[in-house]
Amino acid sequence: MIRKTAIRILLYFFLIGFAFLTLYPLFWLLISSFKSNQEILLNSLALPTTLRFDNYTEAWSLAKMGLFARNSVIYSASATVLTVLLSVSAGYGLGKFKYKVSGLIYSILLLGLVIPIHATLIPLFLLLKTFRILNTMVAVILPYIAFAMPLGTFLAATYIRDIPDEMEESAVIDGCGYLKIYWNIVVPIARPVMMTITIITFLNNWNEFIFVFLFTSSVALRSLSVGLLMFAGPYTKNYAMQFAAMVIASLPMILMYLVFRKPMVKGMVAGAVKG
Amino acid sequence: MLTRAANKRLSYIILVVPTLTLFLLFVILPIIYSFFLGLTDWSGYGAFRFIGLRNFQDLFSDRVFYIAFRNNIYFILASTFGQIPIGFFIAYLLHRKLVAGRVFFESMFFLPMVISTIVVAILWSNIFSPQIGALNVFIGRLLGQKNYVLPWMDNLGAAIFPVCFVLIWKYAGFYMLIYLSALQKLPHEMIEAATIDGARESQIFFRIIIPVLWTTLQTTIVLSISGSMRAFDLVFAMTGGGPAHSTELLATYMYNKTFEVYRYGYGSAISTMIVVISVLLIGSSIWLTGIRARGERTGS
Repeated sequence: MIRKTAIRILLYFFLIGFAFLTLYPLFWLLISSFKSNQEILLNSLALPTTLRFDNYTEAWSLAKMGLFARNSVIYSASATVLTVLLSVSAGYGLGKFKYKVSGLIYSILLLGLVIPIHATLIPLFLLLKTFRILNTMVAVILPYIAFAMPLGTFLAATYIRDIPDEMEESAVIDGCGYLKIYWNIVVPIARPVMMTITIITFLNNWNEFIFVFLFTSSVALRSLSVGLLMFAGPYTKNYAMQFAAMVIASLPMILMYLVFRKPMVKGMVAGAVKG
Repeated sequence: MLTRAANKRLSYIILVVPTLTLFLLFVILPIIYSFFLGLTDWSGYGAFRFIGLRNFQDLFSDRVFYIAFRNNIYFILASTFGQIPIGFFIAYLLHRKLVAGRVFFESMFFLPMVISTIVVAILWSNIFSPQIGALNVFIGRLLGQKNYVLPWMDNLGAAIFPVCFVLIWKYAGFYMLIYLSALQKLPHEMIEAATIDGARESQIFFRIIIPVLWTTLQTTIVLSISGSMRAFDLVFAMTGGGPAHSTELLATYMYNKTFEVYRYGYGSAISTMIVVISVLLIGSSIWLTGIRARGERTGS
């Protein structure tokens, strides 16, 4: 009994130690974002003397985090909506229409789950240049969709395949076209999986860095990650503003996680394990 | 009026072709294009000139290529022997209810996963930084020294280790979740029966849990290899590959050669190597863990 209690205490120690290691850096980021530069340089561990919200307003306008946040929303939202629509339609086609070619298409798409993204950067850059869309929002959104679709299609196809065939068959007898079935029957039933795809795609796009960094060059098109790195380089002396900007970039996803914890976790695990 | 079959075929095309086109155009075509570029000495403009495998010969005598490759291997080792055991251990504790507060611990360990790698990289380089670094102050406090600076900070050979630490910090929670969801599929009746029969925790662990989780282990190893070979943002934002290329990864070195010194051909050859090395490593890891699984089944 004593031994058991001792082990249990040891386990708690271990877990709380890990918890501290995970949470403290984030806590440190949060408190530092409310301090002045002098306070940070003087004692980086101390709590702020007053909550300086100025850091945030400065980061929002001076460091253009407001503009970058708007761009991040545009990139992530438009790419996500299109990814979900295309994934569900391809998932319906591949999951329900029993054509032989589906198997081949499916395995080609699955390749996308293992391809190292950086192996495509140089040709993608040249391709976008040829299309004359380099340094536009489209140059970011199209690759976002293309790279998110394998996982989306895969999740959607797995889900839609399990919808009972009778549902569509009765609709076919009623004279519905397949596209009508797609819109009126498949899409409403597939809502849960669409939710999962939406959440993971949005998260990935929000945190994405290299596409925006390489395929846009004007400041007006930069996203939060890229904008952050631009002024948070090693020569920055405005630590306070930098910390505030980092909180601005992270907070939306932390909130999203707290609200959608279950579907997010489910989607990420499904994507990882089945991929 | 279309026939039923023609209508079906047309609908199929409308549903599948947009996805497929986008994918072929932006993912598959670039991969092929990249293989081809790796055989040229193209520098961004002018005609392509084929130089055969010269880029690859140069790569094999390029010191930085080996450093980058070594660092990728360190990343894989940090994932396989850092993230996976930690993630598994925590998942196990939480699942077997050996500790309370499951939802709290679970959400917290996962938190670093939802924060962008760029933010994580900047955050940790500030924690390690000699100017304002929380870590130096913290250790200095413990040792009772003011203005303490960790000695390994300027050691080139060790520069990659803090980066590996951050890698583990960010992704351990992800592996925890994968194991948590795998543990949910365990045969509970079997464990209960074993407990009633007086099996010890260690027996339950080695006889029941490990065999059931073997495929998950295999999956996570593949994930850690493919994830490590893709790594870019963390190093790019934390060290930029420096000092003196000591923290370079294959992907950051590819970036450096292509977009900073404009050796597109050479950069593409590095890309090709990333693909080749990934395929080889993933293949051999599946083969290795497969041997163990086959041995298990035949009872040896």
